[in-house]
Amino acid sequence: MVENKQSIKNNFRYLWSLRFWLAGPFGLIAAIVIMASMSLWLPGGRANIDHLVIPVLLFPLIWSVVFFYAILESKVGRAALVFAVTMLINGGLVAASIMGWLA
Amino acid sequence: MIRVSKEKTRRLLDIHGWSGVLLGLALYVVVFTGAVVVLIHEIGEWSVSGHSSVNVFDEEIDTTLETLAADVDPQYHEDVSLWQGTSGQLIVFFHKHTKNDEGKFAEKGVRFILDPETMTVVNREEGFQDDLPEIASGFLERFFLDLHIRLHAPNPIGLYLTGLLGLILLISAISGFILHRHLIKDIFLSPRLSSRLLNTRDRHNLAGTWGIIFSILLAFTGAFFSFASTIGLPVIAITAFGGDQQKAIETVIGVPEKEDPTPAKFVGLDTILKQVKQENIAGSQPFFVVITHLGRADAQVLTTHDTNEDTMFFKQYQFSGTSGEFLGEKTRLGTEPSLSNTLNALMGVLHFGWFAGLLSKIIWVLLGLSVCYVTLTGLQLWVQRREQSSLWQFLSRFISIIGYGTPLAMSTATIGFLISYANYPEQVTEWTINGFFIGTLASFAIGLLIKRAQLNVSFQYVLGLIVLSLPLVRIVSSEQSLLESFTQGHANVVGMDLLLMLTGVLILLVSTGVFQQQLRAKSKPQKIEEVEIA
Repeated sequence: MVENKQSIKNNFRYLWSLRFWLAGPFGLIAAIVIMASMSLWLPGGRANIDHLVIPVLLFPLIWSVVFFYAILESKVGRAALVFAVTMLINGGLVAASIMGWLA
Repeated sequence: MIRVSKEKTRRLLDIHGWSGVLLGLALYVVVFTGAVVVLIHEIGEWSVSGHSSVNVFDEEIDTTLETLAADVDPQYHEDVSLWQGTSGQLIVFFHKHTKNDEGKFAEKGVRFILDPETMTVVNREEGFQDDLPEIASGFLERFFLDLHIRLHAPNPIGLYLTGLLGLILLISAISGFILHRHLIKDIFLSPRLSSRLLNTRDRHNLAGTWGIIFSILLAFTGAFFSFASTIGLPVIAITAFGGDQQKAIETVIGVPEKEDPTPAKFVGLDTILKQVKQENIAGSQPFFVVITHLGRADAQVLTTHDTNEDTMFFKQYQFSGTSGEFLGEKTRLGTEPSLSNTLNALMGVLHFGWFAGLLSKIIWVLLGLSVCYVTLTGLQLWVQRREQSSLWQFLSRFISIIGYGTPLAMSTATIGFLISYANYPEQVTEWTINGFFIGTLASFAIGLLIKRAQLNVSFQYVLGLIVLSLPLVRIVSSEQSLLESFTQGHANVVGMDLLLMLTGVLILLVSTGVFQQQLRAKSKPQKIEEVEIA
């Protein structure tokens, strides 16, 4: 019984891990925010649609880079800092666009 | 191949294992149905025993189109789509884009189904496209496509689900690639027979090595298709179009901004279809035609053409609807050629494998099946390493239930379709769905009631017999023999019949254990080795 409880606790140890949250939900949010901000700084190209389409095309790739960075970074604190800075820059750009400050 | 520390290896192994265990079976269903869907047009044609030899876009259809246009409310002249259905019927859909009850833009109008030989209307329906009754002849195609694209879950939940599974496949493939120590060597790996665990691991590594690049490609493109409309478009619409998704779609697709609602006579489709078939334009017949703003000065005709020896991309050509003048090639995205248009087209080519005709499709089917095999052997490996746990041993039954149950349910759905299409075409929807449920229930019954030692053999026996019965059911229900199909030039029907017979016989042979006996006889006795983690 004690062993079972220990095993269950062991299986859910990730829920208390910062790395789990960075790779999981925060990683997904970061990937969406990066995709959104890319549409603001990527060049439109000849047809003026590249900045709208390429971020969407690259979304799975952006997400996997974010995910594996969170998993493979040796120092989880550094990963958290990189995430925070990335979110701040990209999220700031998106927020500015929504508020109409970039127009 | 890639050196990572012990701690990172442990982390990657946990992710590789748990991602597979939690969603591996759902992933298997999506990949297996995807492998089948690669041949969906061939399956569709087989399911109706070959479509009509008449190509509707070779015939004169202007008079018919005028009659139909006069029969519908002019508001539906905004867009007119024409295509040839699975059994060869001409389908004409007069529609407009308007908001549905949920406040989302949808196509609403009148859909006609016409006999391709007599051009008489056999069916007329009005309403939102999603609410119109299914077209009987194309229902099996639609059923399999929906199973692959959204697991028959309502939108957008289904697309989120399959997108998530695409990301899971991406994680598994990339982590597998990083963890794999002998990527090149394992291409030639001969699975050891000394122990069940080693054998499963070797088979998993062998199939994984062959399919690793394909898995990454498939996962990446699949996740894109699922998330493009559910996450990508709304997000881009918020940042770049103030949340206006319709405007975002129009900008990306490249709808001309200038409109001219002045009434003007439509030039007719016949002259345009004659033009587009010329070598200096498409050199082929279209498979899909759209007329925009029928009866207005800004009317245009857009023809879409299949891939051919010269191009692996679908091509679109644009014509004036009032003068018939050729306006040039229309890019799929935007109004001019662009990097995003090419990349977007590449996504389709790489996901569906249609870049080199039937050959590339067959390779895509085989690689898709190898990904299924990797998924199932990975799950087997997981439960075999937990032989002492009764819970995992019970759950291991679900590997067989889903592994064999998916093709079994698809086969029984096909039987339901074949019988109903021949006898009660208005009931194909119910019969196909019921067939699928019968196959699913049978799989659970076999999986939960039969002894574990006999489980896989029982499944193989039942599946082999059902697959073998498919061509027979088609022949009996359609009253069209294999020879008749051959003489009538239905190559896809003959090919599918033979492929199903061969597959059924192969599965039955596997169930006898003859292949395993031969492998054991050939292999030298090997010393049982310690099981390594990777």
